[in-house]
Amino acid sequence: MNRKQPIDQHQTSHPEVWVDQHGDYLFRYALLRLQNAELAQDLVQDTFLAALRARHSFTGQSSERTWLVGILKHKIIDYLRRSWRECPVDEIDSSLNSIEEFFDKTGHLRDISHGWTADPGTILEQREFQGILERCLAELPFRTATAFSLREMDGLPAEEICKILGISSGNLHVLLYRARTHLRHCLEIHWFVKIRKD
Amino acid sequence: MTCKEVTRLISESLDRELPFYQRLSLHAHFHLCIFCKRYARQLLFIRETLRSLSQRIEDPVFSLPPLSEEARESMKRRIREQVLPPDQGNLEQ
Repeated sequence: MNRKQPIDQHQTSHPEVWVDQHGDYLFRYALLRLQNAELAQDLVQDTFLAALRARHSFTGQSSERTWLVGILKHKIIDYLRRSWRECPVDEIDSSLNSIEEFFDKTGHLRDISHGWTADPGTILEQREFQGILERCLAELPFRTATAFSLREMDGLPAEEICKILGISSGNLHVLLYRARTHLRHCLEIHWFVKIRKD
Repeated sequence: MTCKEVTRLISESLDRELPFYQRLSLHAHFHLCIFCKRYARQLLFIRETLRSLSQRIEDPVFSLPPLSEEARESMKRRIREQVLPPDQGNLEQ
């Protein structure tokens, strides 16, 4: 029985090994974008099963990991597209300060910040900053967070995001503006103000 | 333009190329208003930080958790269930 090898032997490693080799990576990839461990786990599971079915079409042109991440990406986008349609539109504003609140009557920023002198690469290595960034991201409601992560984490062009989510570019700009203004304010008051005082 | 309008344009400029006259009025505003200039830099900072985070998810300095042992086992079990029947089929051919 052992003499006959499966035809895909030199293309992918044994599927069970995928879990140890790529499981954590895929899980973190999904977790970062979805902020929900259970959901991230389900999508990774689905990714492995889909990969298993498609394993004979793996050409070996990219690495096994890149191939698996590609499948997971599709799963995440499918999920976001579906939830986006099911999500009531008025959720958009519910849990976030409206843009108006960041400005005074004359249209000036209320939190007049100082410059941020940190370096994006090294600041991430500080545990406390990571925690604050995570918290600030988690405060974004679903639609805002979705548009924002497709743009800033995946780096997708605006037109592509509009197509995926079925929204106008005006709509997307509002969501991104809201996400950025909120995040900027959140990082300013929870991190940058504090380190300036120390 | 008020800072509110300017910040909206700054954000938009990260997603599409603004027409020339809008870019010009942004820069004119930056000369007068250090806060909007900072806002623009801060949005770039946020962008760089998130891109860097998404590229370094395996870096041990990050607190992103690994899969739980339980999830790992259950994934392997599901894979094993799927792998066995078709592979046996292949071998019998």
